[in-house]
Amino acid sequence: MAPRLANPHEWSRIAFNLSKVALVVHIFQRYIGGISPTAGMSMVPTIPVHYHKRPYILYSSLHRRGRGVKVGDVITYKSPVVASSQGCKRIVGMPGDFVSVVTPGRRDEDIEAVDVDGRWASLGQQVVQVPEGHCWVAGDNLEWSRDSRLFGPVPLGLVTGKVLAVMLPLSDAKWLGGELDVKDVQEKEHEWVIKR
Amino acid sequence: MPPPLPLYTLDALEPQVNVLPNGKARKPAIKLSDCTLKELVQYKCNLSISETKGQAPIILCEPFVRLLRQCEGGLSVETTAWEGWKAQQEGGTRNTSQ
Repeated sequence: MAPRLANPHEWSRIAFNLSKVALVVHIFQRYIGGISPTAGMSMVPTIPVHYHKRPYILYSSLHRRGRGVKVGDVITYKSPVVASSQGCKRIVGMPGDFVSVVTPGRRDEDIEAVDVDGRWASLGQQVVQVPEGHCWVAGDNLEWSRDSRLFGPVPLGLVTGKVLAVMLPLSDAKWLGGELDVKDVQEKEHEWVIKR
Repeated sequence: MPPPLPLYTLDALEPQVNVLPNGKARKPAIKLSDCTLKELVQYKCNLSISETKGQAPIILCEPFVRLLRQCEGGLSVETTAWEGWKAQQEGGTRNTSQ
């Protein structure tokens, strides 16, 4: 071993410097933003799902606690039902807004089931008003998403950031946000999206 | 936990838009049909497994278009079901008045 590393003071100096780096990275990610991998199929086709390569998103933590987010934005939030897990969904309603009632998506036991009568993610004839201090979230893949249809409105205090863009895979890289994704109504019918 | 959420039927939506979440009246009142109509496209995706061997399955996503009325003051009202209901109502009243 090099004589420098035999010195216990040298080890404590390295540990101290490493912890400084970890602290800076932690503060930056929590309060400013960063890049993070995601998992799951609830945001397909916006955020793809892949067996080998995990997609990466760019997020801004300046929007944490719901600061400056609006309808159409994709957010990350601490799950209100599963402690220590995070979700990533699209905002459909902010406090005071109205949202259509849509039936929840499939559950694990419905994986093989055939949808005959629009059981999952079908539009209801009622609306709910989002309570103050909350937002209503829904995954872009309504048939395979656990969101506000299941656990109700999410407190804005649980919002950890706003997703600005999908970065990887490059074929799906794009900017996200309400100003891009909430559009004027188009006359022609929307096409199906095919993902490989 | 969030407070319990009351459900509103489509005919109750227009008057309810002018009630703030705290129960007070919205001033000035908003007329829903005057707000800009926008859309937000979400999907219902499922795996489609090819019949021919060796082909990778593909994910087919059926569009689910949400219609939103965006009003002055930032209020957003989802009218996916309401637009059709309203058009039917107006068609119905026109027919009866003829």
